[in-house]
Amino acid sequence: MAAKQDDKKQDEDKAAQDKAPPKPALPPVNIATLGSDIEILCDQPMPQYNSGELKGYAARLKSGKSCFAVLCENFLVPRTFLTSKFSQLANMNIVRVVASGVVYWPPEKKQRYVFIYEDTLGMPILTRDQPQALGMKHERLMNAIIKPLVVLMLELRDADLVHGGIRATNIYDGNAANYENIMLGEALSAPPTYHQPSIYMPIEKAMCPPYARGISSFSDDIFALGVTILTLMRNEDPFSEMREEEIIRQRLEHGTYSFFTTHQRSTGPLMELVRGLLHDDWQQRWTIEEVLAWMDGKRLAPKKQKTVRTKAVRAFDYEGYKIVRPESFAYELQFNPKVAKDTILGEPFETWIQRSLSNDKITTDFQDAKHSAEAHGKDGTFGDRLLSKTITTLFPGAPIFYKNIRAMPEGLGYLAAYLFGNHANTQALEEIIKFNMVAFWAKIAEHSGAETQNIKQRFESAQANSMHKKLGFGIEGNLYYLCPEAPCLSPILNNYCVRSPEDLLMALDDLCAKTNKSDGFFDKHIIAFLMARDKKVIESELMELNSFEVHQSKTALLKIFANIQERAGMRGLPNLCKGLLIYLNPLFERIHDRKLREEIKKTAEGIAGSGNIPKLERLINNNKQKKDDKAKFVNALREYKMINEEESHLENQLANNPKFGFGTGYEIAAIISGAIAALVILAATILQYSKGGVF
Amino acid sequence: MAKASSQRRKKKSKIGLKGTILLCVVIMMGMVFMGGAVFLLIAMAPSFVAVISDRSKDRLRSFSICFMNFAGAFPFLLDVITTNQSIDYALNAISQPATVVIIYASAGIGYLINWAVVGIVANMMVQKAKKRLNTIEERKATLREQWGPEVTGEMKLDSDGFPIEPENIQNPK
Repeated sequence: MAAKQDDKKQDEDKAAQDKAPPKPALPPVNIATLGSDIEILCDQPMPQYNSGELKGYAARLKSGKSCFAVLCENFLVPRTFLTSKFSQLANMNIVRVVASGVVYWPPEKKQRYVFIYEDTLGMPILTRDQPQALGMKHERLMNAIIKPLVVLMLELRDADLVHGGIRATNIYDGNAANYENIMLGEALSAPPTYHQPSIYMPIEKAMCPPYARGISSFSDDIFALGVTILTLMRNEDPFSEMREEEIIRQRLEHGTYSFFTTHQRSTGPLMELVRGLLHDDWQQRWTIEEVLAWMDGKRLAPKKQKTVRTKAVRAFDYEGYKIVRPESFAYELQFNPKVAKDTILGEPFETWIQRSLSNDKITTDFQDAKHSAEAHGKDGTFGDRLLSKTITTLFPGAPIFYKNIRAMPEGLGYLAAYLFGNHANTQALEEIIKFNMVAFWAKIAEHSGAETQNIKQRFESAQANSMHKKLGFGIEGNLYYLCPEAPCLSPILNNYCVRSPEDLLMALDDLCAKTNKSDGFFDKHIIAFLMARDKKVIESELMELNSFEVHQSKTALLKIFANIQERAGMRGLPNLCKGLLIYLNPLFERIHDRKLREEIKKTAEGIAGSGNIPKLERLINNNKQKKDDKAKFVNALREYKMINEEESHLENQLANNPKFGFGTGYEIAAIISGAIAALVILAATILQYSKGGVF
Repeated sequence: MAKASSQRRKKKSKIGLKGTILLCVVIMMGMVFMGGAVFLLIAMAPSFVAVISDRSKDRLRSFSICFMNFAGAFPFLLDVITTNQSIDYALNAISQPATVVIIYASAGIGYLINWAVVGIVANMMVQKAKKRLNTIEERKATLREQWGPEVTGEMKLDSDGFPIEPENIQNPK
């Protein structure tokens, strides 16, 4: 009997299971999806497509087309804004961007930005771990590599694009033999020219770390093409054993072309092209039209050099080097700041500038550097400022060297992202902005014909930002101001890739769901990020947000979140709303009437379930209700005061006045006596006049 | 010295114009009805004593004695006024033991009324005050429940009427 019942129960359970709606299938843990039709296979890395430390993985479209994905890092700000422009290129010699966006990356359990490319590259013609030389014959190099690359670069130039990744290791065979279909790899996954080895960079940018080279110019691509050609044509790598510092030192001393070709035995027509491409002065460097003209067989007359490189008549003995070039001196000064500071403050250095260099401009600029370094007083950073400005004076256009920072001014935003992303010290960067070192850099660079107006204005604003310590300003504010495409690098959002205010709300909603978060919905990064991304949504609330009063800052945050959700027409965010409900408890405490407070709390809980932040905001920030509540509270306050006084008076009377109530007693007794007296008088009068007398 | 004289002047001025007129009228009436006046002067002696010894506010206590004293004297006064206005008649009337007993007994009744009523009323007033105290306590509790402890006015409040508490103040971010 019992067995029968069990069977019956099992049947019922099975029937119930059959009736229940099917649970949505969870995505496999080894697949990340982008949109609805791209799958990235997390367990299939493609190391041949790694971009530096950024890893490549196999991917596929729903249609079955094979692709590969490059995973970006938040602190290496990818060039996402160029995705659509690159995807529109018709050229077949460049890898085609299929899509880009944020995916949830299961192996790390965090969001990552990815670029999806068509898998048509094949294998690189030269890998990083190989000697950087291929020994290609001139004719093959010309037909297989140079011609397709020049055509591609022309197309890039016409589309106002800079590739920033032209190098021998980024050229692929396109799955064809004999370099018949070479393909240029990707360069969008990191800051401009981030993946380029320093030898592929013009000398100024070669001195910077890759993440601080700043915006790339087409002229940088031209230079990189020159180095690529040289690398592919030579038979051995002369720099494999050489330290990067030594390479730069030699390039500064002898010029890039001279130094790079010292070890090059090859001669021939390509050397003329390489010479034109590797000119250290970007104004002297060939343009793409000049390259095309050369390819058409036209002989190009050398450009007239605007200025002759300064050379001292007497070498300066510094740290064991006999220095004659001011640029070389500038480079050497960075390595030992203490010695450098003593040197530049010494008389021999000034004498060397004035007499040996005999360059009025440098002499004047050096005096200017000294005066401007003194402008902020001779405090602890005076020496660093003077050193930095002296380097700028000796080498106009070189990166800003300040303390441990080497960065092109346009690269300071990327540098800030890198430092914050790696939790590094930002003190030196803050000082660069605070002392506006860029203004001096721009002033010196202007003399060499560079356009600096825009950058000067930006850093003036950045300096003003750095003066404020409030939310939305400071160094975090400058990070998002100077690098507008940077994702939000808030530690709160460590596992997310937040690129817009809407992303921020989605990330917070997810965070609330996973961690039951009910506090810390904003920090300096988040506010600065919103300031840069969507000033309108936050500007009017900034003062309240910075208020010392808890309720004011919480109200402001609620308004900001409500604005974002409402304006973007986002779906409900119930988890965030529930978290906010606890976070906003002090706002409920701002309702005097306890009954009303409980009613509003109950209504708010209902709204939180639907995830509608604007509705929640309207409920909590109902001005009419607040006004009524306050008016009623004021009345209650008055009433309480009044009855309290009455109570004190009564208690005092009862305790201390033994004749309490006597006054009233006297009055009533007087009334009663008066009434009796009146009756007696009336009766006596009536008797007197009716019966002939009382008696 | 000057202060004392000014106080005296103030006391004098308390009678006022109306009082002065009334006093004149009373004196004139007393001169016209001389017998009645003499009679009243003697008959109302308990009232005078009561008024002089009354230290209560507005001298209310003496009112009931005066009223009852006058009620007791009135029939005899009426007799003096209507029969003979002479002083001798008035003295004769007041010298009757029964008259004196009735008049002074009525003043005593006035005193008794005063004593009894004041006792009862004062007791009632105390009870009423205690009841009021209970009502106030209940109302205060209701107000505190509805509006919180800040309604007591014992806390330092901000411009919106909320307590200024350290946890409501945050450090700059």
